[in-house]
Amino acid sequence: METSGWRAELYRLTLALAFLALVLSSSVALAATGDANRGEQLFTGSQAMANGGSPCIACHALAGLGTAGTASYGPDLSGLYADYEAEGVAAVLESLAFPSMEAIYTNRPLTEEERLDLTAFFAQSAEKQPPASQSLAGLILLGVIIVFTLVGLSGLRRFKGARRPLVEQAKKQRGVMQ
Amino acid sequence: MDIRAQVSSVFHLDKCIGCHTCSIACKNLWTDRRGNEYMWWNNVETKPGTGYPTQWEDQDKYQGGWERVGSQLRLKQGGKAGTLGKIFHNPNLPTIDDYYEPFTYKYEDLTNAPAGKDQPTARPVSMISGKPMKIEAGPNWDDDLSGSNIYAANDPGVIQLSEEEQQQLFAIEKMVMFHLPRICNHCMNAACVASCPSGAIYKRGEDGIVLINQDKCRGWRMCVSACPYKKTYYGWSSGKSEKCILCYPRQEAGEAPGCFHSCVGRIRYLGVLLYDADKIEETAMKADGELPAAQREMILDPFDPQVIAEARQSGLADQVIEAAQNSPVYKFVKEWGIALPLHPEFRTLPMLFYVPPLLPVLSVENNGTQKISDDFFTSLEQARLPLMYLAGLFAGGNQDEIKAVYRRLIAVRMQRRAESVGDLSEEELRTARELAGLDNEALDAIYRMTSLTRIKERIVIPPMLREQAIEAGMDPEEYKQGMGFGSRKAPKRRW
Repeated sequence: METSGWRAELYRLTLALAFLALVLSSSVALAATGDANRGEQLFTGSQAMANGGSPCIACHALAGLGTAGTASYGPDLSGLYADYEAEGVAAVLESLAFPSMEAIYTNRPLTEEERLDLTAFFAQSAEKQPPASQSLAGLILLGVIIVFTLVGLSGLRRFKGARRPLVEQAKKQRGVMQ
Repeated sequence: MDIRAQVSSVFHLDKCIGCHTCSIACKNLWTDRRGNEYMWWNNVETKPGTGYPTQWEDQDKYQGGWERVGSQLRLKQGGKAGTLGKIFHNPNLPTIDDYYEPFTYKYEDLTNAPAGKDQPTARPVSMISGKPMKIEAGPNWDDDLSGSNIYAANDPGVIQLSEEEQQQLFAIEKMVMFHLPRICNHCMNAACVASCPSGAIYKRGEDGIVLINQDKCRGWRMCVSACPYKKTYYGWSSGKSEKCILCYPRQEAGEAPGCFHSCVGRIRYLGVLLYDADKIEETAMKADGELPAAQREMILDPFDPQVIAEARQSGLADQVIEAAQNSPVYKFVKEWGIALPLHPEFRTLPMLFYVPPLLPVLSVENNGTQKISDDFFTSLEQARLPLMYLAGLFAGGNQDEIKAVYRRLIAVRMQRRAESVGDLSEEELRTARELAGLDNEALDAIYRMTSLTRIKERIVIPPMLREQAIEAGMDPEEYKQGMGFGSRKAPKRRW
């Protein structure tokens, strides 16, 4: 009885430890296996968030995504991972407690898998350190300036009127005669 | 042969007194609407003068009409690609100042002004902005101002004359002018039709009247710049372009067009011409000076049995052929050869013809009194308007065309003088007839048509045969009961 009691005690302890180890190891393993590719798809919106939240790219810039990834409504996320590491990023993604984001994500939270994928994508992106992209607003401004210049130049060829120059010419001639 | 009928006209410029009744009749009928104040489908210009819009004849400025490029005919403002390139930004449009800023007067101030020391006045206000304005131009601003150093001196037709001819034209005692009433020419080779990016402009098959479909028009205004006569106008309220419709609703009811009906001098003649549509391109490619003759060549003899047979084959009704036989226009243009198209060198083949003015009695100094020149009736070379000027207007620069017309008009006058005064010898008359190439009968017919005819002889409206056109599409009874006054749709935009 006694022996069996001790054994049972050890067994329970082992079981509890094993369970703890399992839980810990599995959470570590999940963090490590978050899919960066899927994270990128979620970030850019080519795959929808499960609860219907907006893709990050709608408001945030991130280096390495080209001109499309230069939105400036929210802060630039290029330095996010470097500044906050995996834990900080995960914490932020869990609550998203910023006034302008609450309105969107309170009722449409990110799932745990999505958070892991995004974190993995941020980690990958921080590792690569791609150069900052040309801002879309700047490109549009440049295009607008070019179009307006062309229209303005073509306006130089426009017919400027026939009668007014005749009247002015006649006035000038009269001025000379006086 | 592809024979078609065209309702065409002749304006006899010797008879025009420049009263603008035609313009007012047209204005009251068709363009007395908001946004259309500036447009005059019919206007009367003084020549020499710059016209309306200012210097419209100068195609280096306005880029209207056609030009020959190699063996091809092309719109001067550019081909299809050129039009597309300029579609949002047509650089060749006249400015409102070249037409004129339309104005009215504050007439109510005359009766409503509070009692005061001064007589109340009606100030001019712009019909565009509604603000008081200084009137600087109008559609007939240079009316009768043949000596104006702004308007007459800058007439594109005058500028091309030699220094000597210009001085002759503006010498104080020889100062000369005549009136030029203008409407849409309903051209055979209309530049407006060719230029329209929306395909809204068409030439009616049965009578050749050129119309703008108001449902299809999108207001690109390519027709405004393409028409060398500047006879399509943009309606600023409707967002559509508009032009003279030759009063087709009146004609369909057997009435003369408004400007024709109201003409005080009875200068306007209207009738059907038959022409061969296969020859349009070939004719429009001719050299400037050959264009009037080539255009006459296109017009067919409605009495020729072969032409009649071909016309029937082309689908013309017998009543239309009969109307063509009674057409005074055919007589003026073809039989007598005294009517010429305005600016044929624009190559649109205009179907409105003008009898050039055999101008005013040349006077000579005689001891301080003015006397009519002795040889006025026989001397062509002493005409007060340089022949070159008239040739520039009506013959693409070909003076022989003008001379031929003048010899005929002079022969008519000589024959009438011999008849009523009796101081010309038979010898003189025979010479005049030979020079003119017309016999006594023809001279008499010209005299009769010019001065004695009534409206039914001057204006021969063909049966419009609307019932046949309707029958092709639907039961006439149903049309009559169902169509009412047609449809009115608000202008639509795609954006």
